[in-house]
Amino acid sequence: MSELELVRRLAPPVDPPTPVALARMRARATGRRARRTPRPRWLLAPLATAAALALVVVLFQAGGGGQERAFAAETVRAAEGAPRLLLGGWTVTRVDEWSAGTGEMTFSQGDRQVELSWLPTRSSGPKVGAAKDPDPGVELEVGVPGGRAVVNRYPDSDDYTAVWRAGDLTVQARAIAPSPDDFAGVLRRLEQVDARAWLRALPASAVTPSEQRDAVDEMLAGLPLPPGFDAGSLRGGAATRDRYQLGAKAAGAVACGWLATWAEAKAAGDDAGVRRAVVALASSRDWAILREMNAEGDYPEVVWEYADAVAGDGTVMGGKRLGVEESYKSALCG
Amino acid sequence: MTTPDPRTDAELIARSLGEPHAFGLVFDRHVGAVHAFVQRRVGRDLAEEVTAETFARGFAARGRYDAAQEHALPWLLGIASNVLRRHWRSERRRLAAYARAVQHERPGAAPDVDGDVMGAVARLPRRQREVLLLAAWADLTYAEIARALDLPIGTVRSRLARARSRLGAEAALGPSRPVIASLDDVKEPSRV
Repeated sequence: MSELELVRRLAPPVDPPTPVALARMRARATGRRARRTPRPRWLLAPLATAAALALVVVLFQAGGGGQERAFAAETVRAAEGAPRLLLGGWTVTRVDEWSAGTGEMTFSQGDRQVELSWLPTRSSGPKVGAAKDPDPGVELEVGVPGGRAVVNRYPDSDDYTAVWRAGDLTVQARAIAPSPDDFAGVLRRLEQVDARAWLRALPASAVTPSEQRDAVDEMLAGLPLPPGFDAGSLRGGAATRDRYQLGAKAAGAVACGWLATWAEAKAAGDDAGVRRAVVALASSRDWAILREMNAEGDYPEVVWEYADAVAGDGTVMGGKRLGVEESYKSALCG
Repeated sequence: MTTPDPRTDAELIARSLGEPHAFGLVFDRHVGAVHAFVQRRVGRDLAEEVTAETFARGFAARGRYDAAQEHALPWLLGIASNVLRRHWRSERRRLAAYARAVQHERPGAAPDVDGDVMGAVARLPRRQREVLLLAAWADLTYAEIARALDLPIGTVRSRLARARSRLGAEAALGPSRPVIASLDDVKEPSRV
């Protein structure tokens, strides 16, 4: 057997993308509010526009935040629009909502994770009991808060999903599990809690609506703001955001403003304007929020890739070399 | 049952310049292959992000698509390869962990050729690994790899030859099989 054949045979098995994931990717591929950022950030736009709203939920346990918070009325109201599910014995390690009634969470317990997502129930969303290419050998129902979840497994894998309706939402849980019974057992630990209990269980990385103004201001502090920059739209979120995603939104707005300034100045032959934008973008390597995010995801590296591009030949790699002007919006901007 | 669109990828991409939704048909044709290739290299968690960025970049660059190339998959996999370069740490970590997992899961199978080979793949220089995996995991021909990576075909041949030589030197070849379900079974220490 040749080396090539051996490597081919050792190819890890793959799972097909879920229908929800396909919808997100397709929306972005055809330019509908396309974003290019670390995963959670670009999940926002396609999902917000996709008629199909699905919920992926990760199972978690109360107490993840580790500190008592006082919650403003607006934060409690926003939380009441979420499924507010916790998973007994598991910790919430991530939560991100991109609009009312749409979001996702991750629950962790040791090395294991459960992902939970939710979307308003719409015609093109995931159908309860209609997982894509289910393993016919695994199909069972489990009682969950608000209804019964239909459990499926992706063929030839230990990747399980469960979908159910919870009021006006469709919720989906997904996890690697050693057996159907194990996954069902995890689902049975789901519990619905009130808004404050749910908020208390969120990790420190969760930025509630009432915290977003201060968080955004802190992220923008010391950054060179482009001409005409308006931070107002960044501060008024009505859903709980993951700090990384909020950082991408804030830093991305600044970077995109400077890239637009650079493109306009370049087109106008305004050398001084080009230089100002190049210098501002070059400073992005010192932006505190990007340095913080760099330990967690790739969004900062994309900003820096563009900062280098405008200081260099004005192109980035993208299969073929791409001009900054033609690619930065899909790469960085919402 | 719907009838497959008879137009070539090149025709659809050209049409998408005026009718952006036409690019969605190109997406539908190739998202499975691109997603599978990406997932094998960086795992399920990153696959969606990288695949989405690949198509978004393709959409942004469609005006420069070579209309003489009917099939867009090599072009898309070339974009994916570029996007994946930002995830090289994650890829190497996962391949190395996969190699260890293969060995660990096959006690008594000595020498463990599969683990040796996957470990060697993880240690290959990036440029050689890119060519090797496009051939082995995406089934591209030399010409298609050349097009995907914008390389002379001779360079593709030489990189692949060096990669195979290196693998052969590091592992004695023989029959065996992978025993873990997915790279995603391997714990990833952090998002990359």
